Amino acid sequence: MNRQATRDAKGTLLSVEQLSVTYAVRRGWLRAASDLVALKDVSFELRAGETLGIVGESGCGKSTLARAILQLVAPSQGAISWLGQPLHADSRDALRKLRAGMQIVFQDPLASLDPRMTVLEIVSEPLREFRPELTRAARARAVGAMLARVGLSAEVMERYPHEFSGGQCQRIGIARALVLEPRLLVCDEPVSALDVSVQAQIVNLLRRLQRELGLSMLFISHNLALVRHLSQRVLVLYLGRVMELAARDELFQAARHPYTQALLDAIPVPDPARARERATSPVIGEVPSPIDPPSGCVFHTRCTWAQARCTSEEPMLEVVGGEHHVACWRWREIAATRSESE
Amino acid sequence: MSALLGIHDLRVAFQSHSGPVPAVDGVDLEVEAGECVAVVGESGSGKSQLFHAVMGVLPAGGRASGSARLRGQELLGRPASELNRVRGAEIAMIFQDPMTSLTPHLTIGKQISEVLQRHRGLSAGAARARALELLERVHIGAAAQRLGQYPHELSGGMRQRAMVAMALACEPALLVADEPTTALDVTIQAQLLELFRELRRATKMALILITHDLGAVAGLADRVAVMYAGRIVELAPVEELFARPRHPYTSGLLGAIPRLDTPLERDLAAIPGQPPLHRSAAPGCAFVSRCARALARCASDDPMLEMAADGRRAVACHNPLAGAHCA
Repeated sequence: MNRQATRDAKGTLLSVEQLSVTYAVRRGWLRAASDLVALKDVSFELRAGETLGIVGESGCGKSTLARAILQLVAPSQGAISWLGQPLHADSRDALRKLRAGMQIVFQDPLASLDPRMTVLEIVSEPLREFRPELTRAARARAVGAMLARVGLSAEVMERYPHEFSGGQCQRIGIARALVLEPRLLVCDEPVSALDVSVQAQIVNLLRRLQRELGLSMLFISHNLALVRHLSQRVLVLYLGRVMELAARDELFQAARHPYTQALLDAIPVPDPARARERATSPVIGEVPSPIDPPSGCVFHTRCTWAQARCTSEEPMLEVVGGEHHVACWRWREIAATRSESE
Repeated sequence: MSALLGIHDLRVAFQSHSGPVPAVDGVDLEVEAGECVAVVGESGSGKSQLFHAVMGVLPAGGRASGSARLRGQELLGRPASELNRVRGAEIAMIFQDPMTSLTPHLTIGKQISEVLQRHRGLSAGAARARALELLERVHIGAAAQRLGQYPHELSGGMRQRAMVAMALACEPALLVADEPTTALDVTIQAQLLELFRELRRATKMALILITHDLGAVAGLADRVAVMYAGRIVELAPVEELFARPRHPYTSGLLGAIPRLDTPLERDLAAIPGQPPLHRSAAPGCAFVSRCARALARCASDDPMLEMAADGRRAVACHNPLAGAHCA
């Protein structure tokens, strides 16, 4: 880790500006390729030691965002900076350094581990690649220490992924991601494939690791309740656009975007009496195809507040107050109606 | 009066090279007409296999024994030709992935009409008109147009609605829904749960909701059966189960769900260890290794599901939580 990084510890780790990612897709072999805009004009900053939750449904671009930050897909527009330096996928050297600084944990714990490698080989692989000066014994010590941190005993080192449950595989995946002591951990739906009782273990582990290691995290999930548990700020995406960005408590207590409210209303209430009397009816319709997104505000086809302007003009992200941003033409009226009804 | 569906000592075992592996290990459950029972469990709990056995759709290598009676008629061990008269007409089932149950090369309209023609003897024209009504009833937009579409042309949520429409075609007395919302986006999941609530208000159909998501059933179920390692470990009316879980596993599951009102300073109350892949041959309670309330006898003496004196709730535990209110 360089000196610059340490000095910037309180500052911005990652900065994403006006990022757009477009994929060319063919809908039939005779038809010309059309553009699928997976992300459009996404901007945010991630501070050192902060966890930013990224929520949205299928097609919202949350996984594309993770891939773009990790330089696994090339942005079609916009810029990503890491510790104040713009990132370009064209410099192999810069990319290598960067890779050591940011790591990812995937959704499918078993599929993301090579079945032919032992746990020791899996977790020490990043060390072999990025810290070639380490001796075999030093690598094994580092792996042992990291396994202990994620709650696995050193005895597992000689075993293979298939011998472990989903939760344990996810712990191995986390150990592999953290063994290089990265500054940023990108978690792409890290617990969605796990059983509820095990999910909670991994969430608690991530919380503890973040505290102990001062990690920054991007926590990508479709589950808002989980995101609330792990994040300091939350970014809500819909069809590749930022709908709302706010500090956690602000978002959960005073969501301004109708889509954020719809996501909150969709969370089942684990309380029979309250769940029955809940009057809100779920948001209508489904997420439109990203190949052919609605005009104007992309959410207007499902929004009860939509009016003429929403169908023709795309709202920009504007400041609600402090760090709270929302992209909605009618957020002021919505906020006024809410405070009246309360 | 006897129950609509009576399951008695139902067992399911799968053949493996090392002998039979038990998936369901002696389940008793009665479902009354019009009632909604949620069957909740994690992977390996046997919740799906239990109802796959009832419906006669166990995969190859799976064997069921015991009894499952629909209005007194035994379903287990009946030949497929006889079962087909009951399935669809009296019991219908929908699955997590609608693509596995929809025929890819037939239009949605054709598939629903076929059910109506076969089970109800409707003419092709009448069946098509009824199919349209059914699609509208499950709130599929542009229903007339959907009739002529193939399953792959519909979104996941729409396919699941089409499955519900098909299941409703013969107005079954019982609908078994196996993780019907698991593969769907959260807003679509909420829509589908709302549809189930609406159908329950409008029809006298009984509903069995198989799910891993305790939170999702709170607003829908009348009773909840919690399964672990092939058995029901707790059975209770929904309000009582959520307010006063008695089995440590139920209480653990409730604590492990992140809620919008869980205090953030504290960690989630995780259950240590993993759910077992299947019931082991070891004596004692299957939950003992993960249980904070385990007593010495729990390791050797398998607790049976015992009905409380009021006949409303049952728990299989030597050291259940008291009836005190749990937050």
